[in-house]
Amino acid sequence: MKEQKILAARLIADRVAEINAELDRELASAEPDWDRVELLSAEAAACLASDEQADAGRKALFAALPAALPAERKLHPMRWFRYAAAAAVAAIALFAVPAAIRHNHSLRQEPAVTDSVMTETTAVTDSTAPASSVSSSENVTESASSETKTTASSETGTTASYDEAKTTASSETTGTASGSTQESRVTISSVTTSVTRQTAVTTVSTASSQSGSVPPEVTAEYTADRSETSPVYSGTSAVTEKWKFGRNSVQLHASGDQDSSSGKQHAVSVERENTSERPVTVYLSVADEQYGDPLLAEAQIIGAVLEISRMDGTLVCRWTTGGAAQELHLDASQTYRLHMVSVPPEFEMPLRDSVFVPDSAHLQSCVFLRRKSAGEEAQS
Amino acid sequence: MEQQVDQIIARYYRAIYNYCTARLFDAETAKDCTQEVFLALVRKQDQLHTLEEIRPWLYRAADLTIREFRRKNSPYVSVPDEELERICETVMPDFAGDCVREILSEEEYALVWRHYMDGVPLREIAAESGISEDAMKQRISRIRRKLAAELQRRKEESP
Repeated sequence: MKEQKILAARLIADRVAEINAELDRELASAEPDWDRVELLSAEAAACLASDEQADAGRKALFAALPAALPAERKLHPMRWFRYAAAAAVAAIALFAVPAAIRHNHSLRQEPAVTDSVMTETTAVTDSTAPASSVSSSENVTESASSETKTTASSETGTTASYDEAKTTASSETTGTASGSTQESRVTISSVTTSVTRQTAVTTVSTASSQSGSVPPEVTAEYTADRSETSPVYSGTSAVTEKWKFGRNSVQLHASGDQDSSSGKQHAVSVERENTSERPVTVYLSVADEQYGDPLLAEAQIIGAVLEISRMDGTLVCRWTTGGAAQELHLDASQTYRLHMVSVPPEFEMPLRDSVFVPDSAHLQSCVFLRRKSAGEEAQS
Repeated sequence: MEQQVDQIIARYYRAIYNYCTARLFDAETAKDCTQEVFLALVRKQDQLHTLEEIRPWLYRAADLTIREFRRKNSPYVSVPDEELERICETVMPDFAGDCVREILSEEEYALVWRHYMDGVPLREIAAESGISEDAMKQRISRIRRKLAAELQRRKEESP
């Protein structure tokens, strides 16, 4: 029985090796048959793993997912604070503010609105909702005009396009309380986006008509291929938020409470990071496999010819190794194909091209070549 | 997008896990590599706009992850036959030995026994049988595929 299991193991081992060779051929082809890859892999995995192991792996992955999600998609901690703060403000507003406002009114002869306090507080609570719902519940009139234009700039001979968005929006809340007319106003005075090669900074300046200590809240709604609403920031005079390049317009909505200052500037900066065109420096070497360590000088192979190209076939660089790593300047998160054009006669040619994605600031990578056996070299 | 990621994992996790297992010959390592692939997907999901792009991207990413793992952890550039046999013997189910006896004909069983257990080269067995070495290799390959398919079938049917 043991011998039969040994026999089965040897048969299966050879079959797994066969499958791997077929997978190599399939992935080296211009258009791999992914269904076939899936079937072959399933056959090999059936011999090597159990379903329980696969299920355990899947569960572990789901457990690891929340930590891996991009930060901007996580619920911002400020939002919870804001909810709690809004509840506290509402409680204070119910009892203390009306008296203070009436006192202020008599001293400053500026309108203060009890109802607007309530509604503004409500707006704070509901600011996760779209701006239109805020408008409808509070008689807020909001007008916004936006224009988006694309500009091209070139530093290294390649053309990059960026978007500028200028949005001017203003919102007003009015209401009456206790027979007097009071008014508070929060105005977004300007929004500009300045663009550099790698970042775009959008500054939102708000000016309010009343004095106070709490700056207005600003939400930014990104309206590119996917609409998202950013977390709402409040309580600070300058906030920086980053989002990825690709959002080609932004609309900003502001709301505030009765304590907003007259003429006070609340600057909110929203910084946009252009991750899709972040340059990455890659150091690529070709080394003799028998040494194992690509950094050894004696491991470096001289005379190998390589090409690196984008996945659409555009050639990026072609070079002949000279004993040192080749410095390549690539785009972060693009996918490249590395093709070995020729190798010195004493080495085996790789069976297929390599594909890699440089996603670090500096990347050292190495292609190992195997030496031919004496017989193989003689035949060649 | 979180829902899409969940759907992608539900659809492709097993496929990528199987691929990593086939390449690495080890389920635990395959599990780690598979997790790396899907975490990379989560980080780069904004750059993948259509589901049609997902499958090739996953397999390419799996290739890179496997290669990186081998570079860092494997003592072998390619796994020697003896090591692969040892792995298969360790992980394969006990009924695999029964499978060999049950599904192979007497002639097939004798053929594989001579080659794998007695160490007789295929060239010699082919000469004795009056067929070419290539034909003998194909016959052995068919026997291997038959055994692997039977193991897969029995595993799927087992509770």
